[in-house]
Order: sequence, then structure tokens, then C-alpha cells
Amino acid sequence: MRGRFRLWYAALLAVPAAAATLVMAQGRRTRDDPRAVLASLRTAAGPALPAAAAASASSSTEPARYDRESLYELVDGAAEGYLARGFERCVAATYAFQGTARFEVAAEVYRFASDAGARAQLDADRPRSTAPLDGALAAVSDGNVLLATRGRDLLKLTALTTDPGGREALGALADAWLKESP
Amino acid sequence: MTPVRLVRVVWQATFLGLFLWLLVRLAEGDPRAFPYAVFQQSSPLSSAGVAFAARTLPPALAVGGGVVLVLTVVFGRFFCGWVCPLGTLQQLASVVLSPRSRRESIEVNRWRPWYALKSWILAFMLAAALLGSLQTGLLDPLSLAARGLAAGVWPLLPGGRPVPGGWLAASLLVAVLVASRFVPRLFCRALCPLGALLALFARNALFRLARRDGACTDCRACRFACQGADEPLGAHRPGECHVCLNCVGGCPEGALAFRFLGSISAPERRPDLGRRWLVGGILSGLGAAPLLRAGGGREVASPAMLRPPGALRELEFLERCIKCSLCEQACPTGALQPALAQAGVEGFWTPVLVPRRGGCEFACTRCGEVCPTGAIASLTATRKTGYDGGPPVRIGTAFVDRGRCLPWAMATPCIVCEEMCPTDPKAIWFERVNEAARDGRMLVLQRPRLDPARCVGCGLCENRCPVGAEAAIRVTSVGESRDPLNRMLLGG
Amino acid sequence: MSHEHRIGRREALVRLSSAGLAVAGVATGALGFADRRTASAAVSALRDWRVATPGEGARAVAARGANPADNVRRALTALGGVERFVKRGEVVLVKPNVGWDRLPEQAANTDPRVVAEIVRQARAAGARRVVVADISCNDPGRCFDRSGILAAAGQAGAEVLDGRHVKMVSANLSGAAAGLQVFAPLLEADRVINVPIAKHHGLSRVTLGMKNWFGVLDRGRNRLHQDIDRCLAELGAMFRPTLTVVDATRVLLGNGPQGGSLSDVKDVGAVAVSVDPVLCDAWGAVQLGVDPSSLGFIRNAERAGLGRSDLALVREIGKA
Repeated sequence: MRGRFRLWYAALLAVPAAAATLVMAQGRRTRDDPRAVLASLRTAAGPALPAAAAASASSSTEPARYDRESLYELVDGAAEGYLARGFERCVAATYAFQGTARFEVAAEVYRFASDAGARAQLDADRPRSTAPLDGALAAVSDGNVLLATRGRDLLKLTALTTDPGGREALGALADAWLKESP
Repeated sequence: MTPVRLVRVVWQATFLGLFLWLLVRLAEGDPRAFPYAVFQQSSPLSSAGVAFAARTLPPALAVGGGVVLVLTVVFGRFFCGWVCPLGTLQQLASVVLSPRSRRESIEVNRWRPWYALKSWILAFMLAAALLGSLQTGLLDPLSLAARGLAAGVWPLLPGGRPVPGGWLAASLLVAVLVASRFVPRLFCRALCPLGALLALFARNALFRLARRDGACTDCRACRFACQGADEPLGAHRPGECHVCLNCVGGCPEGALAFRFLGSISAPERRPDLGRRWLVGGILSGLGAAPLLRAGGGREVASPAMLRPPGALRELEFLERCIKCSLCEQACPTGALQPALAQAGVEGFWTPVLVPRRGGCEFACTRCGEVCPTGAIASLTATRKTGYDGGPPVRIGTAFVDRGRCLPWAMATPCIVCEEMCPTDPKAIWFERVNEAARDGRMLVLQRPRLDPARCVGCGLCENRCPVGAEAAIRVTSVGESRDPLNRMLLGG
Repeated sequence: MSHEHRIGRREALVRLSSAGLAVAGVATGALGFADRRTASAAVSALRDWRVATPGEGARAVAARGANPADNVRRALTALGGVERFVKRGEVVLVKPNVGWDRLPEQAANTDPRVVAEIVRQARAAGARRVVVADISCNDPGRCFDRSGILAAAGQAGAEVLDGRHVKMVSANLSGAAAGLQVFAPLLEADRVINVPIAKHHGLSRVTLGMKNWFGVLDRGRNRLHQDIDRCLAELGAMFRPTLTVVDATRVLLGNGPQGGSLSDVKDVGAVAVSVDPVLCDAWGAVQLGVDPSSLGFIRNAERAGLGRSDLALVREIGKA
């Protein structure tokens, strides 16, 4: 008899203990998630290029922004194709690297209305000899030009001079861009 | 004390401790995601009230209330005796305030017919809820205790924020506790509508008191310390029994036990509320709801009444708010205050935002996170601010009072309102004017102008305006997201 | 015939002495409280927290680079090392801008990495206590939390006090701020390091070090805007910090002083450290693209002899 009662009491005492534990356990989460806010801020601020230092570049020009009306200033006649694929806006800058000599890379990030639009633009723009790069990005490159998409954004890197360090520089820029975009 | 009563005391202490601790953590703005509203969500009265009034039940209320009701059908009103923090507080009050000879006596602990008042109150409240007026929160013990502490006790502690009208809620709580000095747990026995609801389900509980008639010597020792005033001897009322099990331990012959399908030979079968009274209660409730609204409380509530961000439209809001004041405690700036007259009689003690007391922080969503019934919908920071690309959640629009504003009326630079405006681009912009001061000096003044399309009504401008008690920029509810009819601009 | 009852001697003594005591008590109370002046609250005097600087040596150093903490370290070293400013056993107040409920990327508050590095430097120099405090405009808990400064400064070993945890005390403020109270850590500190972030502001056009002193005031500071250029110079004259560190890691170019959208933010990646608050503010204005000579409060401050605005005095250290 005694033993059974002890079991009962233990079971009864276990209930408030379990309730308290359950309540405390939920305290492991915090109520705010600043990353969600930051991600939506980044998306709202439009496509972004990484800072020069983040890409191991020695400097970069001020980013220039273009929208649907001013895109032709950047890409001339090709703008029609961009607009047809749902282009919204883009940002462009030139990075300078100090390798064996100083060389430069032109970088642009184009934002489209949908992921499909970005991918379609990549297919349209890629030179014939590009090969896919491994890594976290869906990137293709032929050593002088690198194209990659992430969500609605298309990254386009063009080496402006031939330099042995060019391929590495493109990869470094692409990696930096990957890290910064949400 | 018998072992089972010791276990009961451990339960009561744990749940009271949890209740108080959660309230304190909430008031301190603890960033951790504890389930602050779990007690309010476990009240079947709130669940029933919201279900009747809003015709829908948020999942948390359905689960919380449902579990308690099911357990009540099995074990009787164990919630009252083992869990309810207000019940525990009343017991503590009666132990502290009255001598044992008074609180453990047959005369004090006998059942009185007017204890059926709580059933009348329950009928009244649920009938009123059917017509869309939710007043269960006024006497729901979890809401009552939380309100009384938030409005009455926290303001007294160091760092506490004042709550205008807080003395009302505190007085109710104090009255409930002081009543226990005269009759222990008088509120539970006579007034608590949650108790009445649980009594309905506990009347045919599976577990209940059983008495071995042969062993009973009619000494009436069982009636001395009964907490529910349910007459364990004779006409036992299982619906009133709080399962405190004091009688079981108190019986010198060990004739009482708490047993599955137990029974006492002559239990009371009649419901405590007579049919006439019941019908009267229901009709009163059905009549009260439209009466409360006859003054136009909902549509014509004070134009300055700002509701918390995420609040539902006024009709739906009043169908769900259980006046627990958790949102007011969660608000970091003290912007949310209980309405006394601003929201009409129906809206008494519902939360309103008072910008002069505190502004609504732009990315803060604490009130909706904690609301147990969804009267304030839970928003995410990205949705509320509009950072996700959609329109921000608005609670009103600010208006510049040009007769009081320093740059407009007093040729004095200021723009604190523009500084405090959190939107990007700001809803307050400047008009630069050259104006001659009284002595003829030319001043360049920046005069604030409001862009109503951008203003979210947060009230930070009104809160910081240096112009006295009535600020030179004030927020009213027009333009609030929740009501497409409360607009002044074309296009919303 | 009436019969007069007389009390005994003992009883008479007792009655007379208790009457006497009562009279004495009342008289003492009356005299004691009569026309008393209530003691006025003690008004504390502000200290001058500057260290005596030798004539030569850089007046201001600005360091640029990808790592804000490194920038702080290099700038401090080039200025003579933190030991020149913080001595062993001193109490140091680090006064960053934690005014707004914003994330660090929105550039409304001082970068937490800069604050943390200053705290570390002060502790390395042997400070007994390093306090980080500010009276925020938005809710203090949210500001200190979301700005990242509570976590970063706490980890670096500072005592972090937001508006809820500081006492306000009366100090001998003069001019427009007369009568306002300051927070207690200001009066308890031996050294004060002012750490503003460079931002646009609707009224003063820029908010930098002198505007950052608003954060030591509480009620009534919302009146100082009515003559902002004069008030900023007055604040600069009253509060003389040991060092000013201007955080230009990210600067806010528009919609200040709160910002919001990331498109208002520019990555500059620089930090300037100086004993001259006017020079700091002038340098900060340049980072924001504003000509310092066009700013009224800088002209006022220079005229009052608080410092120089000649940017040639700032030594720039490039990238590491």
C-alpha cells in the first residue's frame, strides 16, 4: 500500500515540476530576431556590392545606381533584354586590385522581379566558354567574366585587364558578395 | 499535515510562484520568450467567453481551456484548489489576516444559498458574450490578479511606472483578499465565474469524495477546514468542492477518501441556481450587451482613443479582450494604459495608447506577442515597420497644432518632433521660412509639416514635444490600419 | 458638605513632571521647526576631465581600415597611447551614442565594436571601473540591446548603465542648460571619453561630439533645440572630455539622427581620436560631406576657444 502511495505522490509532484521546467525551457529562445529585420532592410535597400576591403581589393569607386529608366546608360542597347526579363534596378562599381600590377574589375549587381528573370539573364549573358564554378554560388566563369545569381540578384564581374591574379580576384569578389547578401 | 495536502501546497506554491515570476519578468522587459500568458490562456472562462463572443477560438485558448475542462470532468475543481494563483493568494490572506479559530469553523465554512451568485454572474457574462460583449475578464481570477498586481503593486516598487486609475484594479484585488479575512476564499465561493464554470463540469466528476458510512461518527470535523464550503458531510456539493482534501485529513475516523467514482450517500443533486434565477441571468446578459452599446461606445469612442498596434477592428477587439493587462505590462515605454472612459463602458480596462505617457517604439511588437486571446494580433518587426516592403502598421495620424507649436506660433526654432520621428523617410518634414521676430530680427525657422501618408501614429513626437501637457503635435486614431473606415485620405 | 480629596505627594510629582515633559516636548518641537529653511539639494560641480597634454604630439589622429577595433587601437597609439589619458585605478566613463532603437547596420548608434575596443583599452591601462552609460531617446532597454552595445561593452568588461539604472543629480550647469540634471556616472568619473557617431541631423545639419552631450541630460533637454548652435557650443564648454572618439565606421547621410533605411548609410571605415572636440566635430562633418566652416556651432565653439577646426591638424593613418 505504502509503495503505491509513494508512486502516486511522486507522480503528483512531478506535474508542477514538469510545468515549471516547460516554462523555463521556453526561455532559451529570445523574442526578437534582429537578423530577420536586417535581412528585410537589406532587401529593401536594393542590390548591394561588398566593400572593397571585404573583397581584398585595395579600393573601389563609389557605387552608381541605375533604375529602369537609366539602365541604358550602363548597358546601351542590351537594356531592352534586361527590361524584358523584369529588371528593376542595379548597382555598379569598379574595384582595383594590387597584384603583380594594378588591375581592375568592373562589378554590377542587377535585381530582377523574379529568380527566373535573373537566371534567364545569366544564360543570355554568359560567354560561350564559361564553365561552372564550384562553391556555394551558382556561378559560371571563363576567367575574365564571372556571372552568378542569388535569388533575384545577378552578379556580373568583368576583369578589365588581363592579370594572372584575375581569376582569384573574381572569386574573392564573388565570395564577398555571397557573404554580405542575405 | 497529511502527505497529499503537502503535495497540494507544493502545487499551489509552484503555480503561484510561476505566475508572479512570469509577471515580473514581463514587466521587466525580459527578452526571453517565456510563455507569459500561459495562465490566462488556461482559463476555460476566457476560452468560453472568446468562443461565444468572437465565434472563433485561438489554438492556445482551445488547448489550455480544453485541457483544464477535461481534467475538471475527471478530477473536479482541482484547478481552484491546486492551481489558481488568486485562490492561493486568498488562502494566504486568510491565514495571515484571520485567526485559525475563525477561518476553520463550521459556521464560516458552511454553504450559503447566495453562493449561487457566481453561477448567475457566469450566465450573465456568457449571455452578454453571445451578443459580442466580452466582460468575463472583469472577474476572471487570472485577469483580475494580473491587473491588480500590474496596476496596483508594480507602480509602488522601485522603477515602477504609474498607471492612472490603477487604484481601481488594485482595490478590487485588495477587496478580494481582505474578504478572505471574513470568509475564507469568499470570492471563489460566491463570485468567481470561472469557479462557476468549473462547477458545472465538476458536478459529475469521476473522482470525488467517498465516505464510509459505517465509520462516520457525525463529529463534523470534516466541515471545519473545508475550502469550498461544500458540506462534505450530508448534502455534499461536488461542484463546490475545491479538492483541497482538508476534510480527508481532518477526519479522525479516516472515513473520507478521494476516490474514482466515489460517492457520498446523500449528495446534493439540485443545481445551485434556480431556474428562474438562471433565466433571469441570461436575459439580463442578453439585455445588457446592447444597453452597453446604446451610447454608441464602439463607433463613437473617443477620437483620441488609440489602440495598440496589431489590435483588431474595434468590434472584434472588444469580443476578445479579457482585460488581463499583460499588454500594458509588456509595453516597454508605458504607452499602453487601461482605458477608464475613453473606450466606452464596454471597453473599461481595455488597453489604449497614450502618447504623452510613452510612444510606441517603431520595431517593438511586445503587446501582440503576449496577448493571450489575439485581441492584439502578433506582428513581426518587419511587418509592423514596413521594412518587408508592405505598408507599415498604423495606429493613427499626428496633427500639428500650429497655435501651440514653437516655430509656428512663437517664432522659436525647435523640431524635436522631426528628430523623434522613426520612419524613413520621416513623416515630419520642414518648411523653411524667413520670419521677423518681435524685435525685427529676421529668423530662419523650420516649421514642421506632417506627411500623413508616412505617419504611423506612434506618438513619439507627441511624447517629446516640449510644449507643456497638451503637446503641439498630437496623435488621433484616424488613418489606423485596422479600420478601413477610419480614414481621412483617399487611398487609405 | 463637599469633601475635598487631595492626592498624595508621589502622585502630584508624577503629574507635574509628565506635564512638564509634555510642555518641554511641545516647546522644543515648536522652536525646532519654527521657520526652518529646507536644505537645498546639493549641487555638484562638473570636473574638467582633460589631461595636461605636452605641446608637441598629434592633436588628432584618424585611422582608416576594415576593422573598427583596429582603427581605434592604431589611432590611440598614434596619439601617444591610452596610458597617456587613463591612469591606473581611475574610473572611466565611456559615453557612446545609444540614443536610438536601431540595429548597428542602420548607423544610428555608435558602432559596438568601437565602444568595446575603447572599454578594453581603458581596462588595459588599469582603470578601476569602466562605465558605459547614455540616456536614450527611445526605450533604454531596446536601445542598448538592439544597438549591440549592451552585449559588446559588457563582454569587454564594462559596467553598462542605461537610463533606467542611472540616478540624475543636479550639477552646476550654466547657460541654456541651467537647472537641468546630469546622470550620476558623469560626476563619479575621473576620465570621460565621448564616443559619438557621425550622422546627419535635421536641425544642426550634423550630430557629432558636442551634440552627444545631450545624452548626459534627461528632462528639459528637448528645449535646447531652440537655439541649437549656441547650446551646442555651451555644452562643449561645460563638458571637457579626456578624449573624443568620432566613430565613422558607418555614417548616416540622411534622415538623421535615426535613419532607418540602409540606403542612408555609407561605409566609411574610419575612426578619429582627439583631445580637441572641435577638431573632431569638424573632421566628422567632412566625412558626412559637410563643410565645417558652414556649421554655426563649430564657429561658435572655435570662437569660444574650445578648439580648432583646421583639418590640417588631423593626422590621417591609412589602411593597416
